[in-house]
Amino acid sequence: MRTSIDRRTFLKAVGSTAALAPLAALGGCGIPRARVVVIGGGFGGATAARYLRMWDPGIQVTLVERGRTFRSCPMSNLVLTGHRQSHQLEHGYEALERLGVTLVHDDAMAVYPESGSGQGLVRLAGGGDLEYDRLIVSPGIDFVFDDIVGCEAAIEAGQVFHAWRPGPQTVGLRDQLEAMEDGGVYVLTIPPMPYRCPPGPYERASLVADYFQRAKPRSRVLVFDANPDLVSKGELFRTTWEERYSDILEYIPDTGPGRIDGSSLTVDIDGEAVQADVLNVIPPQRAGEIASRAGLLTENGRWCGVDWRTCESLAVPNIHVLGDATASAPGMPKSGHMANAQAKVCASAVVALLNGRSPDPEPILTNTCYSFVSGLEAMHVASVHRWDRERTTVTPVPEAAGLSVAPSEDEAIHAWSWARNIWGDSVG
Amino acid sequence: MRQVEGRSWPTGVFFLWTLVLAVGGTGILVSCQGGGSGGEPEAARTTALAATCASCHGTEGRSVAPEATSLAGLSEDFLLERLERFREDEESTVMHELMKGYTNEEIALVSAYFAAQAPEGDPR
Repeated sequence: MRTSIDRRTFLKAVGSTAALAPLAALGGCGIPRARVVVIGGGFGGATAARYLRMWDPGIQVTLVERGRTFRSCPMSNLVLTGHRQSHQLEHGYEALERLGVTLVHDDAMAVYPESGSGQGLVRLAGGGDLEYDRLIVSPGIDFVFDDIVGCEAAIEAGQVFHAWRPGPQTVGLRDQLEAMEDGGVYVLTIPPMPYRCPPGPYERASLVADYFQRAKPRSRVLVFDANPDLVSKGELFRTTWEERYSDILEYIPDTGPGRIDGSSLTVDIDGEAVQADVLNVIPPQRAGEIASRAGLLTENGRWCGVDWRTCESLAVPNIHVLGDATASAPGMPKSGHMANAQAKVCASAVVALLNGRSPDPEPILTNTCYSFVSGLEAMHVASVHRWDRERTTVTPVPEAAGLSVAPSEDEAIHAWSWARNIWGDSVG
Repeated sequence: MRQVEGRSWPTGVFFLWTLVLAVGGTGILVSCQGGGSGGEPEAARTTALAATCASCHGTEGRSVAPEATSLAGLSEDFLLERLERFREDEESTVMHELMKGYTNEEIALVSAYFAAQAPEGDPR
């Protein structure tokens, strides 16, 4: 859509700052277009790139993502039990490209918020820089191995999998579970909060127990949780475990791994050596590395504080942070759904700011999270998060907090429906 | 620097630079937008509000899974009535929980928004 304007209108607009905002309504006006760079093409970054282009096709959007496909963490526990294959949880970025997003398959190595021209700069590993007027950083998580001696080496050697990022890690753990003989012991360790996907480890423990019950009934699941109790859907998981998996699954709270020997698959748990046949360590977590390099960490040196009305960093102006890398607001889970919700708040705010408008002062975010307890049954937790003027953050609405009464096949159908729609809503 | 496209103006380049300088000086960037939430603040708020539904009901209310209702193009009255009934605790999977987080005014805004969206396959 091209709009022609005459010289008088043009000069009048140029002459007044107040008149600049309506200028943004001119299509193809031949002046420099706002440039937004997005780092990370997961639920947060892909959704932000997509909605920026949908809501303001005038903005140039570049998405920096090392992977060729979007991989979903949600549903990936079902790969462990053979209910899904890993490639079925992958989606191409072609629809984003059709929408005008420029895909750059590379790693962002550094961010220079103030380059010479007043704009910021993202430096790519493959060489070259990307200039931005606003930067959106959605890097997901990285791991903190300091407290677990031998963990990083065991993971690098392929002896131990974390499977807390989808793809080869998930497939590696699946292969180990499949190769394990009946009568073996699967050991799962859960890091202290906050970590990506609070109910995810309990879903995994349930699904592996379900798989053992069907395929390897003499095998056992040992869960060592660094937290004092289950951190999400606690009663629902506990009831399910007691009713179905009591002879297979044992849950031990308030314990964590100290030292790991990858070759013998022994793990030191509070001074006691535990022998595993399959050892699955979910390490403690922090914001993805680029967040640290860009100077965005504000909480415990691990997470990025943001203003939840815009998702703009509390540390560096013109940089927004999304998803698991953020210092979560009270009661806000690190989930794919939440990253998708944050991305829309951010995209709406960035469009407003680039058009000289004020962002929505009171955004709303939702979260719906389904967990499977067997291949065919799931249960959910749901919440609505709103801006809280007194606490100057977003907080959950108490009346809107929801939880299943019990897992059901009906909810498993809803879970798949949720997945298909949120994948489409994030990558097209 | 992007090429000037204002072919109808003989002195387009001059005007372009004037604008670049003026805009640069204010710190506001022109994005040459085409619509969506780039419009009026109220419309932008409604669009962002409705986008909270899209994660489960599809972008702009066009669901890609048959189990989740497509909201695009449903009648405003129907949407309003259903959403208010959920809010009053009509049994459902998650809707009776989520709708308690929205005000009546917000429910009215999203109902009007989805009623105005073209359903899938409608070239409206």
